[in-house]
Amino acid sequence: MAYFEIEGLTKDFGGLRAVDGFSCTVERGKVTSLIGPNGAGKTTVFNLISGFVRPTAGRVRYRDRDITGMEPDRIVALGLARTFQDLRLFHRMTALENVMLGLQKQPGERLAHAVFARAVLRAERAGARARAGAILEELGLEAQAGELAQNLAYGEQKLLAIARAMATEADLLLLDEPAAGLGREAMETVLGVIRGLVRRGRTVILVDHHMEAVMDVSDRVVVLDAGRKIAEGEPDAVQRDEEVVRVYLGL
Amino acid sequence: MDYVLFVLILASLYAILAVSLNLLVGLTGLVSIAHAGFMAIGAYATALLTMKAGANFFVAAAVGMGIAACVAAVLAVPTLKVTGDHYIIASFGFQVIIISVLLNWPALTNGPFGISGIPRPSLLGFTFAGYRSLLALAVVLAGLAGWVAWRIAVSPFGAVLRAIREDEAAARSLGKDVTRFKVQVFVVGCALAALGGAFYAGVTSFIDPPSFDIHESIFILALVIIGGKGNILGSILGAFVLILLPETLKFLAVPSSIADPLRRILYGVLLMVFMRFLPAGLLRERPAR
Repeated sequence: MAYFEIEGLTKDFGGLRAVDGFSCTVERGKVTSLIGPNGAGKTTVFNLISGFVRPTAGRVRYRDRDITGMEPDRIVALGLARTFQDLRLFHRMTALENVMLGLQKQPGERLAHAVFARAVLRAERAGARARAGAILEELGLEAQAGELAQNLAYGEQKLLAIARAMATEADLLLLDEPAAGLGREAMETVLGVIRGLVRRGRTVILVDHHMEAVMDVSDRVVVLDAGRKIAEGEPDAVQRDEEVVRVYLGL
Repeated sequence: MDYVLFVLILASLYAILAVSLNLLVGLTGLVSIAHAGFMAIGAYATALLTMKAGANFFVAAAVGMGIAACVAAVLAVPTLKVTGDHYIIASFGFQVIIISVLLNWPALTNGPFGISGIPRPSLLGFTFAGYRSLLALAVVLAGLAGWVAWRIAVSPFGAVLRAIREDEAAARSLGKDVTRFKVQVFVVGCALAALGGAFYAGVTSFIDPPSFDIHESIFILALVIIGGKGNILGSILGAFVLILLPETLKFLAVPSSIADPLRRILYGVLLMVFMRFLPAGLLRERPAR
């Protein structure tokens, strides 16, 4: 059984078929990239996998479990977390608070604990701060921990979005355009973070427009066009694929 | 002297209402204009249970809070799915329904005539009859409501509520069961509103539907906004400022026929001034943790 598997995934929005019978498998501990022109359906695939949008047809299986149509919070609990292209940070909270919100199963998130169990909460908060702080440090954001998310530089915000997803301790991370719009240096940092994740056994699915970055970091590339898979394989092979070249160059 | 005590009791009562509404409006971003409706549930339950069933005030108030909590839980299922501006309209719908029920179910509520002669609260043989003892009770209840709200605000539970307010989809992407958080805070906030209503019934001895109409809901909302959304202490301050300030009008030699509309105008002006110059309210929300 594959670690992660999509089968015949289809999504219609009104009369528009955004994703059309998309299938693929993802190997554990690898970086798999989803590329394709604007409007190819990449983000829709992410929304379908992560439970934000229900598919019209098809199955999504993660670690032998059918997660099709599950609520996002249950999917995260199973170990699959995502980021957003538009980041969706909690702008009026600090970087540290943003990451702390990614932590799972905090006793203080239970109403009764919140009101009555003060001592439990204090101990928990110290632990949560430490864990969130460690993640920020890992991404080189420790100096920004107390800064409001809205005041961070764009590159730092992109890293913070990844940090938040990492805090969920998800085994499979779906990163939506983590490198897009970044300068070379910031992009290298993001790629370093992705490699670090994989080195520690996590699995990453990536959507990005930055071809150089994608080809550099990916073990496998899947190409989407108009909601359909048109190619799949190792980065080098995909780059030479005639169909892919045609779609990208618009020939 | 009694007059001053009465005004302070009133301010404490509104502190309970403002603090509980702040949980919804300030922390979670659920702008509700049905708070007086939930207050009415507590008030009518207390009046009916003490008068018709001979229950103790505190038992009746607890039952009233329980009923309000159940109504809130049932109501939460359809209404909390709607967000933002649509939620305001949905809560308005509930407010309209409550008043309509109060007016048109005379067998239970005595319709537009209201219920009079509600007994004062009593506990272990002691009756809170004088304004001094009622003020003490009011302060204790307001302190209790404020404490619960404050505990929620500073907890990880409260952090999730703020996250939902900032960006619901982001909160879901981090594994938060947004519906559970919303339902729970809604139930707590509405139960506390019912506590305020129960106390209102015990203090004034008379309740009728207009005491809980939409203006009342909007007034409580104004307290939250002027006090400072998301700041629990701000809601208490807002209640005291907005109740005490207009009372100073009484010391000017204006006839009550003018003082009353003048008070409303003052509230209106205050709201506009705050929105323009101090939109965060008297006490702005403190950064958490």
